[in-house]
Amino acid sequence: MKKVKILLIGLLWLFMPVKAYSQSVDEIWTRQIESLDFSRIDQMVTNIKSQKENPFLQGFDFKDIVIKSIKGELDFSLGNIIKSIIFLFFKEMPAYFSLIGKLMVISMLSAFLNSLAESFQSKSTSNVAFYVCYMVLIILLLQSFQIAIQLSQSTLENMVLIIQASLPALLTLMMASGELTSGAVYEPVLLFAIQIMGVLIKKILLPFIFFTAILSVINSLSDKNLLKKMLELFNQAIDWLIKGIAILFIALMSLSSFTAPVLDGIINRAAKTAVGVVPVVGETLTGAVDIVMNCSLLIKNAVGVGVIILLAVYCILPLIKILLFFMVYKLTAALIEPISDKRIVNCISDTGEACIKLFSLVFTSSLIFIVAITILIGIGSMTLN
Amino acid sequence: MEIGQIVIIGLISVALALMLEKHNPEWSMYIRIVAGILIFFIIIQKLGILLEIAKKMSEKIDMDFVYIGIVFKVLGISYISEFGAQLCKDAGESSIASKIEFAGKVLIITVSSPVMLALIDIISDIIP
Repeated sequence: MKKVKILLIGLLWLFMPVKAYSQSVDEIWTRQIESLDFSRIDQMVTNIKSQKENPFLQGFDFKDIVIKSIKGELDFSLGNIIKSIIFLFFKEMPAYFSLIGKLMVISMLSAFLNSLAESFQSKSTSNVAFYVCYMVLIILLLQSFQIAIQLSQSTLENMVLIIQASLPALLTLMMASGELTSGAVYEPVLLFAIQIMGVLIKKILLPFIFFTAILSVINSLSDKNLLKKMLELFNQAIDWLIKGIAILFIALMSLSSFTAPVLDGIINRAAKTAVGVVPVVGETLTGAVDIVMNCSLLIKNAVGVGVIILLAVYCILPLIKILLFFMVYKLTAALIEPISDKRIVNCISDTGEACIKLFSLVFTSSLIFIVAITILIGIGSMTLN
Repeated sequence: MEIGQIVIIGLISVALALMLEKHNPEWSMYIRIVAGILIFFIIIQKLGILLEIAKKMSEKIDMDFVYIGIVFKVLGISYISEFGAQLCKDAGESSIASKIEFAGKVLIITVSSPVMLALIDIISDIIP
C-alpha cells in the first residue's frame, strides 16, 4: 500500500502545474521594442506634420506601424493605394486651375495683340508690346516653377533627415541581431553616401535644372532656336547626373553588402558553438540566443518597413504636386497652340520639360533611399541561417 | 451699329477725297486724316469695354491686376502710336511717323519697367 501511495503522490506531483521560466516570443519582441528609442523618428514625423497638410501623415504613428508590421496586420492592397493616390490627385487639382487660367489669359492677350498688329504695315511697336506680354508670361511661369523647385528641395532635405533619424535605430537593431560587422561597416558608408547625395542634389542638380529652364525660356524668345545644342547638352548632363548619383549610391551600398554579412555569419556561428559547448544547458542556451537574435531581426525588418512606408507616404504628395505642375504646363501649351504665338507655346512646354526633370530627380532619390533601406533589411536575412 | 457708321464714314470720305483730288489735293488729304481720326475715336470707346472684360477675367482667376493693366497699357500705346504713324505716312510725312513709332517704343518700355524689374527680381531670387 505504501508503495502505491508513494507512486500516486509521485504521479500527482508529475501532473502538478510547474512554472516554466521561458518567455513567449511575443514578450521578447515587445520588450525589445519598448527598449528602443524612436524619439528622433517621432520628432521628425511631427516636424513634417507641422510643415504641411499631408492627409496620409496625419494619423501616422511610427511605433504603431512597426508593431503592425511585426504582427502582419498591415493592409497593403494595391487598390487602396491607387485609390488614395487618385484621391490626392483630384484633391490637389483645383489649386492648379487658376495657373492654367492665368497663363491662358496672357497668351490670349498676346495672340490678340498679334492679330491686330497685322492690320498695320509696320510691326516695330507691336513687337515691343509682344515682348512685354512675353515677360509677364515668363514671370508667371517662373513664379510657379519656383514653387515646384522649393517643393522638391524641401522634399529632398526632409527625406535625407528621415533617413538620418532612422539610421541609428536600424543600425542598433542590426547589431542586436548579430550583425556587428555589417552595422559597423554600414554606418559610415551610409551616412557618407547620404550626405554626399544631399549636397550634390541641392548644390548642383537643382540650380542646374533651374538654369536650364531659364535658358530654354530665353531660347524661345527668338524664332531662331539659337541655344538648341546647348540646351540638349544640358538636358543630357542632367539626365546623366541623376543616373550617376543613383548608380554611385547603389554601388556603394551593395559593394559593402558582399563581405560584411559573411563575416557576421562566421562570428554568430562561433558564438553559438561556444555557448553550445557549455554542458547540460548548452543546447537550450543556443536556442535562446537564436530566438533573441531572430526577434531583433524581426524588429529590425519591421522598423525598416516602417521607414520605407514613412518615406513613401511622405514623398507621394510632393511627387503628385510636381507632376501636376508638369501637366498644367503641357496642357496649357496644348490648349493655346492654335491661337497663340509659337514662341509662347515653346516657352510653356519647355518649362514643363524642366518640371519632369524635377520629378525624375525627386522620384529617383526617393527610390534610392528605399533601395538602401531594403538592402539593410536584406542583409540580416542573409546572415541568420 | 458702329460698323455701319464706320463704313459709311469711310465711303463718304473716299468719295469726297476722290472728288477733290484733281482740284485741290491738300483738301483731299485733310479729309483722309479727319476720317481716320473719326473712325479711331468711335473705336476707342469700345476698347474701354474690352478693358472691363479683362478686369473681370483677372478678378475671376485671382490674378494680380497690375500685370494685366500694364499689358493693356502697352497694347493701347502700341495701337495708338501705330495708328498715328500710319496716318503720318498716309500724309507722306514718314520722318514724323518714325518719330511717333520711336516715342511709342520708349513709352512702352517705361510703362513696362515694373514687369522687367519683377522679372529680374525673380531670376536673382532663384539663382543662388
